[in-house]
Amino acid sequence: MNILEAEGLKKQFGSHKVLEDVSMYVPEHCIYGFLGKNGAGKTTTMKMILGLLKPDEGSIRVMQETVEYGETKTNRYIGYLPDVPEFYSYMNAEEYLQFCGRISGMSGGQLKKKIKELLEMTGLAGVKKRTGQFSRGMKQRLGIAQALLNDPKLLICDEPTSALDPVGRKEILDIMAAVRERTTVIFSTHVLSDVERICDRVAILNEGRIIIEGELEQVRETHGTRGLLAEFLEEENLVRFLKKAGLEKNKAEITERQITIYEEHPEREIMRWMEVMQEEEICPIRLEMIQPSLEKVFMEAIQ
Amino acid sequence: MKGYTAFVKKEWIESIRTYRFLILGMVFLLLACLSPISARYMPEIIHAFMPSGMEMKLADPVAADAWLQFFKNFSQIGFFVTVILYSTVMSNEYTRGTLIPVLAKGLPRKYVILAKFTCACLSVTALYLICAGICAAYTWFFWGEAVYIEGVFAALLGMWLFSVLLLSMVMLGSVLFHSSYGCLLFTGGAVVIQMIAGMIPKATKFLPVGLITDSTEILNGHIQTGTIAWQMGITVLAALLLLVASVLVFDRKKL
Amino acid sequence: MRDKEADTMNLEMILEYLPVLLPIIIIEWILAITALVHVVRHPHYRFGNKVVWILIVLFIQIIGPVVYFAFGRGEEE
Repeated sequence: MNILEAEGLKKQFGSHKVLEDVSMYVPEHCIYGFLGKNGAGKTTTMKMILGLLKPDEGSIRVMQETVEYGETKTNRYIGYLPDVPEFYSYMNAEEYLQFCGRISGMSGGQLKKKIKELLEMTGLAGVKKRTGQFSRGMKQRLGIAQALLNDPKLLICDEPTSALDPVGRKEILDIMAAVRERTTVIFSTHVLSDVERICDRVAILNEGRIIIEGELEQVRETHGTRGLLAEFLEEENLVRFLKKAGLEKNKAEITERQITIYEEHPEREIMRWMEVMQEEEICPIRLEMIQPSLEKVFMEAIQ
Repeated sequence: MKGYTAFVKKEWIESIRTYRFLILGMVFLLLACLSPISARYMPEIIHAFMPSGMEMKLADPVAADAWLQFFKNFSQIGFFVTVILYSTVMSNEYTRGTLIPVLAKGLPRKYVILAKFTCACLSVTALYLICAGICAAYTWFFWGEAVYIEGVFAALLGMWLFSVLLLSMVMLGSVLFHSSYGCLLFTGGAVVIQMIAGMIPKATKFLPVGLITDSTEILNGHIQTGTIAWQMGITVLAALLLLVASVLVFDRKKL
Repeated sequence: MRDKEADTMNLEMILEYLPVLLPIIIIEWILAITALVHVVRHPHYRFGNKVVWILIVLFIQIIGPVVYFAFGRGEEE
């Protein structure tokens, strides 16, 4: 079952078209990476899912229920972590979670238990400071705690790691990985290593359209380019190698001492290269198979 | 409904911890004490500070003077401070984005407005009642039996209704504008326009502002009951309309 | 002669009115002290600096603390 279905979303601010045609389908129990450059329309899409912005066209369904702008009924299924979460600076973490719990209709012992559990999970237990004095990372962690308070079916995180140092980033990613059993996570980011670390599915948003969407492995395989590369110490070695291996210059990328070829099955070719090198006694300083990487996919996609 | 009470509670914690309630309370209490005292001792103070040799005939102060001072002080300083303190009621949330996680939790937007209004009204009303009590106590202390003045309840009720109207103006102003200054200008403008319109004799009857500008006359019973009833009715109606408008505007507000 | 008389009258007046004035003095002090504590403990202001605010809060009765809390205090805790 798809937990979130968005179809044909369009949005224009003045004359600036932010979303041209965005459709996305998020199945249950996955971590869905929502990629795009800054200003690609990630936050806009997320705010629409939350009913905080009205799409010009298109429809959104969360758990098969249609999202209505202004009405926030579907938000009972959703936990949201804004890009820069801001809390009431005069409350401490526990008070803030109490307040949030009451708003989502929880109370009493059940709420207390949940708050204790979340404070421990996010490492905020025992912190008595008011949120006004929290560091960025602490705010982000409290943001996740408040988003998980009502056991959401869907957790939406807007650039949760972008403003954090490596330690804070790891903490957030660990928390997200820990909750994947219980909930579906959508998170937007432009940090590709974070996506490769924990995502099952990715979508790449560019100029208001989703241009690539699918399982991480599959996206890498189908959109990523494979190939092989050899580098020599001296230019003359390269020239000799090219000649003996019968490689045409127009099919390869050749720089001074290096040759790169992109093709889908580089295994056989690399074996052949090795034979040629052995026969001719040309020793490369580097010989490698180029594996598809998300970065390459991303860079090519947003060209 | 649970969300609404939770938000009222949050507003209350906010007004305590940001010192809003404390300042409002202290200013109100001060005015309540100061009004009867200044009325009582005004002639003596003037006398004491008068250059020697000058004589001035001053009427002995009466209990009504205490109430006159009370109404004058509250309608000017008291309400001014109220509006200033509550002008940040939305702008703080707008500029910092603190409402976004809360609304994303599914709290209906109208509850935000209603809860803020409820908390403001309850605070102001409670303090106002205490202040009226203090003023009455001082008046009784200074003038003994002669504490009861016929128009005092009408005048107190009128000014309270106007304070509620003022808070609803602050709500709409702060929903409309992102900055607290916008809200101040809006509320101030609404009052000034009423005062200007009040120069047309026939319009006075329908202007809520009459409840505070004419409190002397109300106190002395010099104003027809019909006029006050009209003014009060319109005040209540206007407050309701402003509140509904605030809710509607906020529903359409981009956050 | 008349001046002297006025002086003693002032003193007598103050003594006589002390019970009545006491609540006002208490309120003034509560405001001033709360504001002073806040100024010292939260050294970030929208404008002005610590010394200026301490002076304003202590020596401009009532208005000083009100102005500080309404306009002068900084955003965060």
